Amino acid sequence: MSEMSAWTIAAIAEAIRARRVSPVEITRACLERIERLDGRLRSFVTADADGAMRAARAREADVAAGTLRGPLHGVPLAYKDLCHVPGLPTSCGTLTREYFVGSSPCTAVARLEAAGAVTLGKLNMTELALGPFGENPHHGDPQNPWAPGHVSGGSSSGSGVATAAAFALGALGSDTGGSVRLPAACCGIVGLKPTYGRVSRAGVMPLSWSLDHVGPMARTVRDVALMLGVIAGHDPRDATTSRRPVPDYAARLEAPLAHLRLGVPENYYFDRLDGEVARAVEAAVRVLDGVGVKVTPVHVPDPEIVSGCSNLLSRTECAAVHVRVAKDRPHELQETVRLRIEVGYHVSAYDYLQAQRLRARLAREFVAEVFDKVDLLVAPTIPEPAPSYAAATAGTAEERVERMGRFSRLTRPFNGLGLPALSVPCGFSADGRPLGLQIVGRPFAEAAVLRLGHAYEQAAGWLSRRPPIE
Amino acid sequence: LPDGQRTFSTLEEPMADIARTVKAQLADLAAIIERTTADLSLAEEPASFLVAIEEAADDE
Repeated sequence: MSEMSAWTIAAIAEAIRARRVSPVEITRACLERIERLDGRLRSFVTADADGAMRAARAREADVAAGTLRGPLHGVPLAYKDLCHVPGLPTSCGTLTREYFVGSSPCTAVARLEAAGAVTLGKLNMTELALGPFGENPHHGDPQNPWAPGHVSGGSSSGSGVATAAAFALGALGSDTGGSVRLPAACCGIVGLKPTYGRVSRAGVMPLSWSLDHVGPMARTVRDVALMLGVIAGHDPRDATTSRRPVPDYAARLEAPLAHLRLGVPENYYFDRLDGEVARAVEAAVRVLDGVGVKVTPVHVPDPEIVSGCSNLLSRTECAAVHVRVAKDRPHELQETVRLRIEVGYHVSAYDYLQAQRLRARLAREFVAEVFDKVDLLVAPTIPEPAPSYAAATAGTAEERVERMGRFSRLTRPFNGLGLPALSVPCGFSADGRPLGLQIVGRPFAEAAVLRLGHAYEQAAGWLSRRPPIE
Repeated sequence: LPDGQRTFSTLEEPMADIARTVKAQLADLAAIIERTTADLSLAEEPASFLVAIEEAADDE
């Protein structure tokens, strides 16, 4: 068997099906790696070794009996600590061990387990998912596996670190303004924010009902496609989920790309970019040009407007959801988290409703102006390589909040628009920090987004690099 | 005053400064939204967003 850092969901699932490896062997290897290395990387809040080994033995018995639960049979995964998994605490990154109580089980996790996945535990995150850098003063700051002392991106920071470090073969994150894609880019893995309504959010701590998305994170595009195929689809427990059929995303990865029109934004997305990021994304576009797509410059409707709407919606909804901790135990929250919640008390119902009404028009306009001309759009995911913790947390609370806004300015518009957006690794800074390319499609175009991501991943060759954590 | 505004008044002074700045930013956002919604159709409602997403779907 290859070294652990090269394991993928697709390869391990196939090896288990062919009885070349056992779920117990794979799960034990993950748990030993977590035990050995996560003390300094801080990706897990709860590693459930006993539960994982019980599940692995049950999956092994299934294999022996010739019964496979589904495409992820025996594959060890882990989940952001805002997914309610029965029997495990859900802190949501707060000081409170059981913060998210009274929920029914997380549908996405239940679907992964029903497809055979083994749950390793729950992953670290920014407190209440409020912040793009991933820091956590209660559970320890997750460390970027490629650059210790640097942020991992957030808010699904543990999901990014655990996947990049090969503690888990894949993870779930949630994305309200970039919280799957930012840690994916910072940690050199793949992360997908699906279309709004594609994946159920039932059993996941809400931050902003209008903008929250649950998404898969893994080392390869194929692995993300496999996870998405399992978790996507209508759920009666989440009224926003679509009844649209779920395609076999993994089976469509190799479909031809010829005639695909790829748009590169002329405005906004390349403004104020770090030079290394700009060069990496431009190089990625040249690679995509070489795999047969037609590259076209395209003007996108001003993203500041949809970002403004999103900010107003998220601040209001977040204040409504988390008012109890903010009022009863404000001393437990980080200063920036408390500030972002409390600002929401001051949004008028009028402004909130106008922002909600405006959103539909902005989505229609974006689709008409962009996706009538091109099939997919590419943009950078992060405006700079992952900063050091010292740089990310320097200055006053006000400066920190502004810095947070800048770091998520390239991802946030697609939450407001509800469009599917994938982050794939697109190179490294000179000092070895990963960079990310964002691929965006029209609603429910996950198959096309993943297909282009897979083609780029195969052509670019970044997958062979491993973080220096041993 | 609503409870939320009372909570603000209990913040330490630097936080109150920040809160004033962020509230000013919110006012700017509200102004943008006010301008942009000037010609919004009367038929537009919050649930229109889900309809817009479904109507614009890729049917590959």
